[in-house]
Amino acid sequence: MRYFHRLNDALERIASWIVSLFMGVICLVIFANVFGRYVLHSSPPWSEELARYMMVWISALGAAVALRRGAHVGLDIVVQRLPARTRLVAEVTALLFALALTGVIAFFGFKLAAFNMRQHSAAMRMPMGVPYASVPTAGLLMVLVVLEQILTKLGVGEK
Amino acid sequence: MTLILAVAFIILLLLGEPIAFVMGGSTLIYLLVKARLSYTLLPQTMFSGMDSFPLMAVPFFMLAGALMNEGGITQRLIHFARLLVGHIKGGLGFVNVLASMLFAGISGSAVAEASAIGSIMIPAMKERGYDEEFSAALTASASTLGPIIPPSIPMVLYGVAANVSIGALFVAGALPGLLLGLAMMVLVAIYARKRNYPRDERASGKELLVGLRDAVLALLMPGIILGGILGGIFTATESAAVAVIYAIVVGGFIYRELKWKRIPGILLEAGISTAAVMLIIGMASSFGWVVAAEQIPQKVATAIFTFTQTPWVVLLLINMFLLFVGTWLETAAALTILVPVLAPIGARIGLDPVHFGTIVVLNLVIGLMTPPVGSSLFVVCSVAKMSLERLSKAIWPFIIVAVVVLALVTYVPAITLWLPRMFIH
Repeated sequence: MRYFHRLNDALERIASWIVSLFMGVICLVIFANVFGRYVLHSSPPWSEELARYMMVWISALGAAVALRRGAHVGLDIVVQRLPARTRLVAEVTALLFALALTGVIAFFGFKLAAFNMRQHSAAMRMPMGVPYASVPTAGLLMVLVVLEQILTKLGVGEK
Repeated sequence: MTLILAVAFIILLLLGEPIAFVMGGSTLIYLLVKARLSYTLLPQTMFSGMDSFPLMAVPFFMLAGALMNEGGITQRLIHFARLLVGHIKGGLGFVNVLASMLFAGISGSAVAEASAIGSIMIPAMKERGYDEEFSAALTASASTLGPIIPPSIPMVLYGVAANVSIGALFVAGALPGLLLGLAMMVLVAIYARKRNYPRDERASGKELLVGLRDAVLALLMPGIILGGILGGIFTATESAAVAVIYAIVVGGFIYRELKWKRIPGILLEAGISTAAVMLIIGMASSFGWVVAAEQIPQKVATAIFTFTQTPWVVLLLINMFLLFVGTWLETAAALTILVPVLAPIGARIGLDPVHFGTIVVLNLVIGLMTPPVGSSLFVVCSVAKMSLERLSKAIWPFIIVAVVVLALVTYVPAITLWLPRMFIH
């Protein structure tokens, strides 16, 4: 269990790092686009596409980090009013369901990305599998986070 | 099938599942039951929902708000507001509303606004003898000006979902936002008389000039954003990116309060808040695909129009429905699911899409301050260290005022449409 926490810690650090980096880059790219259009009278055709795909990756990685931090809003006022045992059952049910959903997203997202490796994007001629891969990556990271949360809820690894 | 979808949605929602998973989960259950559809639909629709250039305005407007706080822009706006209206009876209440309006001209999110204004104004008001409940309730309700006065994140989401000009929606929100701000000020004046709240000393002309000089760079920002969009210089997304760079330059080089070391952290926080919204939008577009496949928009329209054909009754029903939904559901989720259902109804009773968009956004934004669930309430509770119960009791007068403004905006189209018609041809 300790190694599992460490694995997720490491993944969260890497994901966070990429999120900040990409956020900075897309700001500069879009700003440079406006600047280029008005000052240099030309702007690169790939800039919008690059920013869009980075944004999808930010969303995917950030979503997993947000899940680990418990930052995805849900309507928890019903569950909170349940007695402790029933509440635990409800929470674990919700998590098991989340596990199934993120699992499906990871598996079928992977198939989708692999299928799209042969397609190329309009401006950069990048294989479309690269932006598409963000979806299964988000799925996989979220599977790990949900598993961690289920094990923690059930008290696995506690002494 | 529609019934299965609805039941799955409600059960998952009540289980406390994050709203994104509620929508993704309902879609998954639908796909399980309808075996002829491929599960690839889920990642495919998620991707196409998130892969959108206009949506990129969301992270930039979030970043702009965070950078304003770190760069000392917020503090200067509040100080300037205090010089302007602090001397009125109940002055700090007026300052709270005015500062929220100024802040709203740069930020497009109620949550950012509630924490930025609240963390300064609630302690300041407490110190001057204002009731804590009043200060907190005022901050929570004034924070809803953020997404009404342009720029606005919910307006971006509406524009993307309904394919309406985001620039026109932004401009349309200006007068309703002003009206809501003024209505709140009236409420502040009534409280101030009844509870004998204090006033500041009137600022001298010189103090005013100095304050204006300090704040002028911050006050220019809404002009750059709106002027740039209206003048056709840049798109909404580009204007948001320009706002970010402007906030960095002003906070970092002119006010010199923005610490460079803090920037990666600010980028990360804005990225994560964005991702939370984008995951909702991605899952909502999967859910929306199913909703469309089940022809739910048509079914709802038929149900409403067999009940009544009268436009004002239809609008009343839509408003009541949206206020109810806004109370419970997160704004981005509500927008992405409901706009495809409601926009055709609005069009059929002859409403301008920009007017209808403003009504929808206003409704859902009021939901942010309606107990028992609302992001503005939660943020203010944590900033003011106050229980939700106490805040919930104090906020009702503000909700009533907002609903009155909503009624005006709904039934007097000129309030929304006059400005866009002046500027956009």
